[in-house]
Amino acid sequence: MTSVGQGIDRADARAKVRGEAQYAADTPVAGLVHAFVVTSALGHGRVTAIDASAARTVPGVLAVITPDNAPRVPGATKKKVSFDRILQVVQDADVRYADQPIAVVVADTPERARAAGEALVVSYAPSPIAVSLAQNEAAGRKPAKAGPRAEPDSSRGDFAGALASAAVKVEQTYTTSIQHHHPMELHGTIAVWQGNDALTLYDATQGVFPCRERLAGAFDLPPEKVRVISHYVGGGFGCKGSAWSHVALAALAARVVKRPVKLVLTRQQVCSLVGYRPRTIQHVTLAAAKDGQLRAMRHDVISETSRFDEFVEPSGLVTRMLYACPNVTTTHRVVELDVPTPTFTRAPGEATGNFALEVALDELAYELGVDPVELRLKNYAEHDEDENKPWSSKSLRECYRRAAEQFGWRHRRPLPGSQREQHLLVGWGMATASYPARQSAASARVKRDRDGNFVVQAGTQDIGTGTYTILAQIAADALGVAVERVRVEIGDTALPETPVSGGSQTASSTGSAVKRAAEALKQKLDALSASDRSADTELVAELKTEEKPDRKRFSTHGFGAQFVEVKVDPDLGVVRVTRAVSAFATGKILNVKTARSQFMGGMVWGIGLALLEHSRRDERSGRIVTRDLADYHVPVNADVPELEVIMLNELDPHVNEIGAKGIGEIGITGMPAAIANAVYHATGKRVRELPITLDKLL
Amino acid sequence: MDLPHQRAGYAFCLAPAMFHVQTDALAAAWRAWLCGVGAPAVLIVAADGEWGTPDRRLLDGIRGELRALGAALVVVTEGRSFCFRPDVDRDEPVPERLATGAGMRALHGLYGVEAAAQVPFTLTLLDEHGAVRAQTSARAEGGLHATLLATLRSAVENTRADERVLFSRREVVLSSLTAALALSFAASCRPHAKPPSPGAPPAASTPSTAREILVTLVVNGETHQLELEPRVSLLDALRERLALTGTKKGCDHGQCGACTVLLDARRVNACLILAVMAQNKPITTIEGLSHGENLHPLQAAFVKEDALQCGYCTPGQIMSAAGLLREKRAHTDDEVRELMSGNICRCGAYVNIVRAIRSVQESGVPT
Amino acid sequence: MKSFDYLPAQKLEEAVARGEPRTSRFIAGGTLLVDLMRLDVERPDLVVDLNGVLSSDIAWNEAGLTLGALARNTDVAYDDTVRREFPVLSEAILAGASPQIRNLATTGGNLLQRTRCAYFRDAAVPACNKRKPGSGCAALEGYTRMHAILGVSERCIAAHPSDMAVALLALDAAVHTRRATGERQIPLGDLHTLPGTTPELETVLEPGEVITRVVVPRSPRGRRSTYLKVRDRASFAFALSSAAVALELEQGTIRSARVALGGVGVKPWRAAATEAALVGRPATSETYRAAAKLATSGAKTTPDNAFKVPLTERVVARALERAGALA
Repeated sequence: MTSVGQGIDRADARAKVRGEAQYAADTPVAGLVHAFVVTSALGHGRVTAIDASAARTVPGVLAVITPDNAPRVPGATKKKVSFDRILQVVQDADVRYADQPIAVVVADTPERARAAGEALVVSYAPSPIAVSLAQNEAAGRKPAKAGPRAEPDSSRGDFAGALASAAVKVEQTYTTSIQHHHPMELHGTIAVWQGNDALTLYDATQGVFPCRERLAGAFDLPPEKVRVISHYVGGGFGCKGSAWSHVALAALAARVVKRPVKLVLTRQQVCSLVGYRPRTIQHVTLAAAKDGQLRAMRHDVISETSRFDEFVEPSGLVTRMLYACPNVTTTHRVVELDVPTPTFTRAPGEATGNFALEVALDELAYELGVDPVELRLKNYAEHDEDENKPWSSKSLRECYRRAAEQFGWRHRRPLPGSQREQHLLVGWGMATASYPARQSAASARVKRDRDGNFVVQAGTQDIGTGTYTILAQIAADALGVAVERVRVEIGDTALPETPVSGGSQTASSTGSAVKRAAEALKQKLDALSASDRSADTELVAELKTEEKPDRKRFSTHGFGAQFVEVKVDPDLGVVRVTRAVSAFATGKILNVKTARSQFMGGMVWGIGLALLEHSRRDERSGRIVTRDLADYHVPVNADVPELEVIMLNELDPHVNEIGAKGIGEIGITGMPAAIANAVYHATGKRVRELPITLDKLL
Repeated sequence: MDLPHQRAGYAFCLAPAMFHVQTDALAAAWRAWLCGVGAPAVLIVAADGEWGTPDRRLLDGIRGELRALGAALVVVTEGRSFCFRPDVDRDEPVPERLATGAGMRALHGLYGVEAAAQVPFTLTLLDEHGAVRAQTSARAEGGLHATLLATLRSAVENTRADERVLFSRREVVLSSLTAALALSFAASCRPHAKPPSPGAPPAASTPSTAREILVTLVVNGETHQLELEPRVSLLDALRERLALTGTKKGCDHGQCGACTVLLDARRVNACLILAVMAQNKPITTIEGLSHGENLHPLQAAFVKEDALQCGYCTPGQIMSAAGLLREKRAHTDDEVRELMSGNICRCGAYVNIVRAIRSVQESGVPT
Repeated sequence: MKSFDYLPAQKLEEAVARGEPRTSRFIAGGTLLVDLMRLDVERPDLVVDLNGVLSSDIAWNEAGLTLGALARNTDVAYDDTVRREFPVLSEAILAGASPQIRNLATTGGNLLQRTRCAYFRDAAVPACNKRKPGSGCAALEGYTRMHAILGVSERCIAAHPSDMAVALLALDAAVHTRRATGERQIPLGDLHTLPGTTPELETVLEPGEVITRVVVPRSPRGRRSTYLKVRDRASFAFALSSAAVALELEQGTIRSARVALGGVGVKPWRAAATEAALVGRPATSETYRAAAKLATSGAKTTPDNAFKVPLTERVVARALERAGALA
């Protein structure tokens, strides 16, 4: 029996339920001392003085590192790839955003390091500050790219001409708020120098290799002199995809005190030091013929970035490809503000852009008087009209059908406010979900140990996505052995090079490499005579995979359909999601158990984005006001109902070696719009601003 | 076991055997050589003046005890490095390529040890795999040599007392040495501030000093005495002092539940409790929920239902669920959801968490 | 967190004496003080542990319900007598915090909770009249969704976060205290002070004064009482608006009523005008709705929290409906 596809238990579950899984900050390292990052109270300006006299008297303090005495970090501001970050590692006195690092204190205990940090007396010279996106929308400029690869603007056909002649139009503005990733594991790094020229980092990272490259670059070391280890990662969602300032600060502190240093950020600090999903303002225009055929679409996206680094929330990309429409224009603009640099957040672009597009489509459905599912089927894209390529596979029709059927959509009464249960209004909404199926070059090694069992080795990370589990399954099938005989070693730059665990590409990238390496090993084994095969020898196969050659001929995306029921208290405005059914077609499902969890996780994120999550900046100081998990609301258990996930097993021979599309992000992409559409259906109130908090419904 | 907290020249640290970060050739050579010295080995990296020229009688005594233990001593200083092996019974030089400045740096990388201005020496106990079993750099009252001699002597005593125990001789020597090191270096390094004695008249009861006080924690059935500042949370005491890192820090403000433990059989946030206030009450952490290889029914159900993804909130979820089961107030899915809402799972495993807990409730398995 | 000395008090008088200096703080459950010390908002030199000197008993006698100051929130909420005689109290406690926090938090400590104002809790914000008298109030023109609309002053608009205190206010509870000069009894409505020009003062308690117990008198309204809380999350969130109501009905007429509000006041807020508009009227939806309209009279709002006015009126009306419908 093949292992791939089976819902076997998560390979790392046992270690995790016993508390034995060691995350970065759990690593036992002898002689460890502790660092605390001191951040700026000011939002923009300069530090004029830091008085460390009181801090130095705190017992156990080993070092107070400020711009006055910090060793140089020559590569702090040098980026090599788009997701490298400009680092603030106390090299100068400039304050570019609130809560920027301005000093690091090292002491023998975490309590002493923090107390000494709090004892620093800092003087500032403030400069004028601008952090409001709404007030600075006009200052938007065209960015270099929208996302890592795409052009910021696109145009096909004649939008203006088609708009002028269209029968029905929707023209609206949608906005989304700052969302923080808030993985439960706080970012933490243990830095250990071996002399001055070799560095080991235990880091909470989604990419050990990118982290290695960034740190090697920062400290001007050859990459092979930096080793990054990350065996378990307590959630990433994008904010552990880049090496941020604190990683370099840990290394800097360890160099100063000549001891291993542990640096863990506080929950408040992760609000400013590790990125966030930026606010967006999205102007969407849809125009259709009376029969519902889309004639013109326009999606203009404005998002915020810092003044020293560029990140674009590529919300308009989805509009380019999701529906059939001859006349489409999209633009992306960024507004530079005195804020920290935003970053990738679970389905960057799709989560926010799809909200705007799919709510606009719902509005259009009401304008036309057609069922929202019908409208989407009417405009079903038979090929990718943006790239003008066929889909490698697309089973979205089946997703609509299966999810609608499971949900009972045909019982829906379209009139807003027409469904009630006791005193509550009941609303049903739906939206399309989609996410690109990406793949990067990756390497892997498969070994047969002397005991006859197999070891998969790849640098990649398991950020809760099931990497340990699916790599074992892939290798077991390729080797033709039981999955129990395969052990997986990952999370270490001493292992073969793999890409960042971001963009839902780990299974496709590293999985492909593991499959090929295991096949290569199998060939070696098969070539041996029976007596040699059982011999006590170690056999190894290692190789690197790139994108499949024919993949470039196709557009590769996963698709899904998400249906949601909400109940709204008409007096109090309280909205609760009471039911959600999603169907996804994402190529081959490697493990139904862990895959279902991933999809559900995305759906829970969708609930948060739609109803709860909202980081608010004080517009005078630039400081995040909602700085902890009491003020920033991520969904709790009581916010989440039973969630139903339908996984279509889709055959896709083109997308990659293993036929699987990424699944980590698609689950969030349709939820905010489905929920907003359900709220409209329940109440007749169209909320175009996320999150939909009760005050917007009173 | 006493595990005093770390301080400048941390007093004493039980280091699990996995600390090997260095891969360069010199470090590898050090490790290979140290493994060949024979186990157990006491490795002292010291500033020149700290080792100096020991009193001859002390040195002879040290050699005698090493012979009795079957343990080796390796001393590394900038000026002179040597090795004493009981089977060879004389001081041997450390290989030349290791006994250099670069060699000392490699050793630092290998075991995190050093001898610098703030740390006159670091003493490391190594096992036959070259893994660190214990480490200290606490100032030794009465001098390094005398303390070392006393430590070895005490270890020999311990070994004798322990001979009925069914461990390998090597393991017995290692554990005896560990215990002796803890006693002589950690316990003697600084006098404790006495905890206020209960029953003393109010006028006489003095507040504990702002520095360390002796704190007794009963964790998973074991009693630990720690020297802690009053501001140290139970969470940080567990994680940073007792190396019980299964209990996680997610927010440090009682807002996420990742640090949930049972205190007096009730679920609480370890981050909101001062360790000094948790004294002498039974504390159960995730490490103490099950014994041996068996999983607690909740742990097994979390595995089966895939009630976790990244796993970081999982120990807190499980300890919270253990509290919930004891409370017997959740009888429906919705009640479980409400009474598990103090534990945030950012991966969004809630549906499966509820299933896992309900399955344990429905199974009727005693928990 | 600044370092401090720790004193596990052995006698109540000792606690009172050692708690008296401005640099001392009491600790019981710790859920508030440890949180604020970690934020560097509270910086005591001495922390006096009350766990050895106060009672955690819950007792029911002719005077009513006596809650020892150390009675844990969980124990009060699930106490059979409390659930029977004062459902509003049980419901309010269970609507607050998490099971873990309720296991730690005490009755006395809950009443002395400090505001969740984000500007108060962010020690890097220079302007906070509560933290630093005279420094200004960053919230006045800041982000104020969670802030108070009742009892606010030019110097402070921070909301009191407790749910339990709101229920106790609706139950006419009194706190019993011990101070250097002896014991005293303070009606709960008088315990908390308005910010006025001195927002740094939050209660009438003197330095060193310790809450020893809370007494809830027997009441003809106790059993017909309920708590309704509206918050952003379904659980584990502070109130945007909440109401504790207790009614005494006689043949369809309201004989007496108590209405207290949470999430909207600078202190647990008694809606006296609403109560007055209920008494003597028929127990009908019209009465409830009309009376609820008066709940927020005198409100001063900001653009961020103006929604709390209509919300609170609806919360009160709904809570009254619920209490009126109780068997």
